[in-house]
Amino acid sequence: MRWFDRLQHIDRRIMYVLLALVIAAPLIWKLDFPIIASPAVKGAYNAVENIPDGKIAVISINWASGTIAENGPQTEAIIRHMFIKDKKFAIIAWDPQGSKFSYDYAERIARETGKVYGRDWVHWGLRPIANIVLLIQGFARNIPRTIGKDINGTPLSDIPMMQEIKDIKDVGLIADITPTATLDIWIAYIYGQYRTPIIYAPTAVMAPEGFNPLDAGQIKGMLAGMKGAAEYEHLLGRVDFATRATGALSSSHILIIVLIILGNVGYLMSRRRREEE
Amino acid sequence: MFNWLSNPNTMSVVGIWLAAFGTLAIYSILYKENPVYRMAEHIFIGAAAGYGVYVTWSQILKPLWWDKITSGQWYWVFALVAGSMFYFIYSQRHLWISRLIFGALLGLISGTVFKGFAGVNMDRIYASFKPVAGHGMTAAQSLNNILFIFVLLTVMAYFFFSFEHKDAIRRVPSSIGRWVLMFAFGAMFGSTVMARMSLLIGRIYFLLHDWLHVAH
Repeated sequence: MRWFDRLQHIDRRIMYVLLALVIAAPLIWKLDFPIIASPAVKGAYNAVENIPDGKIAVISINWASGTIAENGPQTEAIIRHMFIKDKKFAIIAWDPQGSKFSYDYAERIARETGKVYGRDWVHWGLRPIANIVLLIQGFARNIPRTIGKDINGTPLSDIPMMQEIKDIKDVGLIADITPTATLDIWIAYIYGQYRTPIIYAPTAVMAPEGFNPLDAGQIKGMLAGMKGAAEYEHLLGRVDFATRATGALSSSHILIIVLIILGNVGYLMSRRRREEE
Repeated sequence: MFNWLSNPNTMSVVGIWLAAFGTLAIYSILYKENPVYRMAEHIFIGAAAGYGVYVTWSQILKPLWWDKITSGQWYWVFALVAGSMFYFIYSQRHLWISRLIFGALLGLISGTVFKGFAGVNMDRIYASFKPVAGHGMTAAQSLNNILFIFVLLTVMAYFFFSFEHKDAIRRVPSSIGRWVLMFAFGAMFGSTVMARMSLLIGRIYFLLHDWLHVAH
């Protein structure tokens, strides 16, 4: 086999090892790349800053362990920002694992920032994703009646920060953190009807679907995957997981680009040689 | 004898070692199919399903349905009746019962989707009518909007199937639209690669940072 034929038949296991190495090296030897916050991330950041006093944010969690590397840092950065800026929020989860993860994240960051459950934040618990359309419409009209109890089984009427929160008019921001297509549901039944601001934190694979609503002004900002989380951490002035991972993300992309070029060079050389023969 | 089980630090270490074993076991499929991978896969599916059942009961069914019945709101039992009707789809003889509830659900969803369509699309259609000059626009904004409108029209031309794209007036915009779509699909695929890399980085970071303590 000639060298350019070999370029098209590199053993996939060699590529996996190379990939593991180019990811591990920047994580071990701290290879950082400059981070510049995009307008989409700045928009999300400003939307959190501008939540009016007296209103809460609702953080919608629809992710599980499978996308924790992307949705986890997004959740952490948004929660931390809200705590730093004294913005009260409620978490609603649509996935059993996401319910646990989001509660643990908020509890840990609340300890770090001196915030108190029930006064500064609340977790509404898990709700069935199959009923998301009906639940969203119900909660827009009557939050205490639709949500009922929090994750600990406490009626919302007994939770201090929920005393004055009655319906969607008391919600200043929706943050949709998700690996699936739930954004259009929030836009259809909340933004389309009540004009409540929305920010979107999808996995990178879902991010292209966010640019239409972003362009149309239906969402205030977007955190595209881990990169978006790193940009948000940059705006917060923090170095957490997403920021540490940017070097590995860039080096893995460089390797893939190099492999694509090598594969195409091999293909073109093979084709030219065949034509000559 | 089992006091160590109640020590949170010990359990944290055990948890990290179990997670590291699970990660390596799942990634062993990259070399080839093997029993360790299969075992880890089945453990994960079983654990996730079991946890899902527990959380669904403890956070949804118990507080929002069972507690209401036991506290005197007996009429909530009808929710069980309505829910059970779905399962008659498995019975040839009583299939009609499931059709009642499916019909009601489809009617409900159809009405809701119709309402949602306007909420999603009207703003986007409105936003696609962009000015190309004036309104204090900079040259860059103007160029951006012209490009947007050009792409919008050529892509719409590509999806215009009412007549054959024979002559140049119809063929060229359609052809440009196809090229533009290819660019868009390429960008979307790039995002997909970034997503997959991010997930891999998350697991490698866990192994290097939480397990082996060699990452910063």
